[in-house]
Amino acid sequence: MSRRHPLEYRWTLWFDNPAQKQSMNKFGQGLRPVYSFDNVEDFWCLYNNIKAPSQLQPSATYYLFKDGIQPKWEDPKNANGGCWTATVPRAANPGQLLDAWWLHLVLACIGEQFEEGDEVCGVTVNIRNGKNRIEMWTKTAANEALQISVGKQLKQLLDMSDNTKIGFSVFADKLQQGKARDRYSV
Amino acid sequence: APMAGAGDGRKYSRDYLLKLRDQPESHGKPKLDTVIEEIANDPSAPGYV
Repeated sequence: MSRRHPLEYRWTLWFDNPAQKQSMNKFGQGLRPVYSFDNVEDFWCLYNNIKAPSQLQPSATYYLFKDGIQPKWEDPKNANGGCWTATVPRAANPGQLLDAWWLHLVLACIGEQFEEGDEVCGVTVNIRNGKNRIEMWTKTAANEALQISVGKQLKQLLDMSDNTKIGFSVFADKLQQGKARDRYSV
Repeated sequence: APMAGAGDGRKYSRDYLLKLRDQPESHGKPKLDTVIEEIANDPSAPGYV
């Protein structure tokens, strides 16, 4: 008998394909929504049929965002937010570590394992030469206590050691200055 | 009501979600007309992390 396990939110996977970008390389030119799901089984049907992050070409990005939120700093749900960024360390098998980080992060989000689940807008995995990273986008950058709590949970989820630091940058700073210093770190 | 082990309402632990990965309903191919070819998994590639 078929039984679907509903998720708290409907989620959309987006893909930014570097092959679609023009010479101007403007952000968002290759960005497309791929598939939406609102139950566990549909999530796995998607996940089981797409490449793991380590199999993507350089400059590609997966975004998994709550339905109705575009993975852009300017989206109203992101405009007052920011993101935690964790760079995959040079490990014995960095591709495997990247894939595990992404899977664990995605499962924690759709499974509502963050204490401040409502604060989460989405997560990304960025394939960059020599510096693959994941990001967790949240809504309320100004709430330091809340962001620190999210950051600590993220580190625990990724099994990062205490002496490894991750930083939180604010989208408004990036929009104004082109880039931003970390506002918080844990 | 959630199945035993499903967790609290719509909260699901990693272990429970991974267990659901093995059930038949999790192995269908979604309507891939919207899933773009560049990210379609190569069946010969390792699928599990």
